[in-house]
Amino acid sequence: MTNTPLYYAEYLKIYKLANYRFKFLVESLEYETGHLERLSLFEDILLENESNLNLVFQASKHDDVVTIAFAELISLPRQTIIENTAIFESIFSRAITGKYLYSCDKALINIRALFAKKKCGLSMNFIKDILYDKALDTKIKIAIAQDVSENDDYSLNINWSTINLATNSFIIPAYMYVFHKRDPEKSLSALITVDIDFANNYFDFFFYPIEITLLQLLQVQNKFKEYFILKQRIKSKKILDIIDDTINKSSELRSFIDSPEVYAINLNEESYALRLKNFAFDNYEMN
Amino acid sequence: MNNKYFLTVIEQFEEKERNALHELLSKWECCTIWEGCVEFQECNHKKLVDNIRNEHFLAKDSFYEILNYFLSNSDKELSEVLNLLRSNILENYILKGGNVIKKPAFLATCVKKNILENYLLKNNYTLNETERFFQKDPAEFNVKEKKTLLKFSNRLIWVTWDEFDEVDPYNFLHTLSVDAICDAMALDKSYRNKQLALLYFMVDPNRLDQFPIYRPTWCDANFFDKFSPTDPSKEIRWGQTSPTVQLNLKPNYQERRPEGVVLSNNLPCEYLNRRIKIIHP
Repeated sequence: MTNTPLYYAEYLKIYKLANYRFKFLVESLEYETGHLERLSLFEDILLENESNLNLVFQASKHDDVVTIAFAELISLPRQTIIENTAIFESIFSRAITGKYLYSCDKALINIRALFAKKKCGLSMNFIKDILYDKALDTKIKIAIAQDVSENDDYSLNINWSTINLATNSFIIPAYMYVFHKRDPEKSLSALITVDIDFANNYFDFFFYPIEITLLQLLQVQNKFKEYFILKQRIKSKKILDIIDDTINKSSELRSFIDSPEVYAINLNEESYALRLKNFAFDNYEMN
Repeated sequence: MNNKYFLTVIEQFEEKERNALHELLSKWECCTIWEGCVEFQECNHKKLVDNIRNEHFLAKDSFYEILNYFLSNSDKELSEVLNLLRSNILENYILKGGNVIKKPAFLATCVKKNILENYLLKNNYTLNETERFFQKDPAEFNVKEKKTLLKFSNRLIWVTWDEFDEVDPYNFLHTLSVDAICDAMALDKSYRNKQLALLYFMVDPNRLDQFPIYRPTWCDANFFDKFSPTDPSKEIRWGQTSPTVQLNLKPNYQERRPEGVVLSNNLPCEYLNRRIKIIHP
């Protein structure tokens, strides 16, 4: 085998000690050798370097070695992941700068999944740098912003209302998650700022925030009429399709929308629009 | 076991090559230390070689190519040969077992819950969205959830079903538990003590004829030594699992459960027909 990884020789000494071979290997690298070996091991997992992973993990009938290796990484104690933050940030930075050529996307996606699952991993300053890095892939930025919005440790430290959604569209799904419970109208109104191209390219990220927002709006039923007014201001057909799909698939939402009360609201949509013309949607900057 | 099929495949070789192949396999099965590759060190090497001899569903041309490959690399260690072959398996030798005959409409598979969660996270799901996915009735799945695959593209999903066409493919068990599933489905030991997600699918009866389910082969099993090729004198329609212990079965059910392989791309979540069931160790 060529290009034998740095951690391999060390691994051979210890692998027979236990079933939890990967955890032993990580511990061994922490206590005996250190940073470079851990970096090398974690890089192989995050870059899905199959030939090197075959040296450490066993594929089975049902799971390939890449899947098993990533599951093992995620099974490490949260504390171990936190202690290795510098390593993950280093791998992330190298991925962003194209250090890994073809595997850059894999590394970014895997680090993001690790970070989401363990609710830790990257420092707040590092996250800010990522979110405002114009060169970074938008899908990764949207996903990381969403992870941040679901993690109170990070989310509570951000003043979401001051973010300019029109110039930072990647924040919108995260913004909707943050506001869906306490102010579902505000969450829904963020969709007005979504431009057509952005929605066409990244619509996958809107299913969940739209669903939880509509379900929350249902909890405050007298607010549902605003939904009809907001809906008229949404530019993207893709977003409108997602809203329709969400309503059609949810028995709860469908039965409410089909109810006589809502039917009446719908008929009177225009008069509501007039009465609510000064409705304060905009606690954020529209432009 | 029955090695008739293997013998018909090697008939295509010259006598000298045939003898060399027999000799090579005998050498490999007696090999006690497989240096150089961790993943083969712990497996039952004799069983792995037996699986080659007992294979019946693998298409003859593919089988011939693999045996020829063994011959041309006969000077190398088996672990090295298998490692090199493994890198070609996904592209060339999976789904070569022929179609399952009398395809079932109700299928099931079993995955580790954490592996499915990780996979969803890698596919633009958030953590909370992932939790919701596990709780949702598939009838309420949105477009994104419906098109979600259970594995990366072109990977295999191992499915089972009820031989009497019952809706629940796990109906053969008195009690649904992690150990019972692991024993019956010959799952890897790493599945024990883990939360398992059971996924139940239904294929539209009108599309059943075109729905591709294949009989599993030694190559589909990725050299997994707990896999046993199906003996065609006992079952020709589909593959059968190889339970690790005697199972506590309901009357009339067979120990070896029906099994087949489906390409992940062909079994998106729109085929789920009930909520994902989580069983705890």
